[in-house]
Amino acid sequence: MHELSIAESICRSVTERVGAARIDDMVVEVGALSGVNRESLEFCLGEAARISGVRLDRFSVELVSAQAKCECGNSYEADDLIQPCPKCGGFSRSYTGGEDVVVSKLIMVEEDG
Amino acid sequence: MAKRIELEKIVIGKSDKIALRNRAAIDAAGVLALNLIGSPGCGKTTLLEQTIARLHHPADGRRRLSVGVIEGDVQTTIDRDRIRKAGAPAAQIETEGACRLDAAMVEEALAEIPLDAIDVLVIENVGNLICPTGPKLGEHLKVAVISTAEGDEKPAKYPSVIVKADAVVVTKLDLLPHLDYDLDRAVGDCRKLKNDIKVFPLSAKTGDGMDAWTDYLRAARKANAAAARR
Repeated sequence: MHELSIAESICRSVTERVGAARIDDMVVEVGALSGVNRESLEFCLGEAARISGVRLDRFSVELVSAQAKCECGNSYEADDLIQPCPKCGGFSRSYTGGEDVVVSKLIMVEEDG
Repeated sequence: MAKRIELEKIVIGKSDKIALRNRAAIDAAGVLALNLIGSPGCGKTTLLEQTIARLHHPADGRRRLSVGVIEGDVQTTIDRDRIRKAGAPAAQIETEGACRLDAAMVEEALAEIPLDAIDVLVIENVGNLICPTGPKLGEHLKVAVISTAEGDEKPAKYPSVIVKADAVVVTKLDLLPHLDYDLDRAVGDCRKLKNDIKVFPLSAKTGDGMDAWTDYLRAARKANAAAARR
């Protein structure tokens, strides 16, 4: 439900960066713990770009795992908050990363003339 | 020939930076801040009214703790008015459709809260068990609120709020005789998701369990103030 406002803020940031230039390719990384739904953001991005006039030739939205560290000492990659530690099965863990939404790749096209 | 230029990455959501700013202002005033998350109608505001009553007028001669509240709702100032009536300063955020608060909204509302005059700040998020678990607002603790009326399977069905929470309050305990609610299952599911989570079953209406909850807030505020002094 909040993905549309995130898509709009991505479009705003991109416009601030490139102005009216055409974007050849853009990759958005969604952290697994960001509370942002990947599919929904992908859909909203297309719409937000159209509405805000961002010229987006290609883009994709990718999910990025978080690093979980269990009390037992084991570290593992977590794609959501409900995975237990694969080693001990426990649920006492802390996370690093996976909380952000990042435009990790942005390629603009500079037209001649 | 058109030229392709690769640009640097952009981190979206300056929200986190604003959250840090909020946190700095809250810490400078020595205030403990909570982010209260629960479904519409789970009893967040009633819990707050009774929490304010107990912290403002402790029965056992302990020190009064002053509470301030930021209310988040899609529409209306109903909750802010209830909190003010309960005797606490309150600011209302009307999100006009947004399903959760973000740090920028809270920063604006903070201007209306006399931080130096309070000990505990409660930010009551928009009624929603999913979306508010994402953004940091500047709080020290996230508290999930689930009511018995919602059913005992809620922790299992909405795990992300439980995993991110520091404590869970199970409200409307007084309704138990009328419901097929398995409290042990709900509490057990919370602990399964997060082994060390604190759970407070209570009834704001009868007062049952309220002392354990307010004791927790007192202890958290004390620990927080001690940490801030270090």
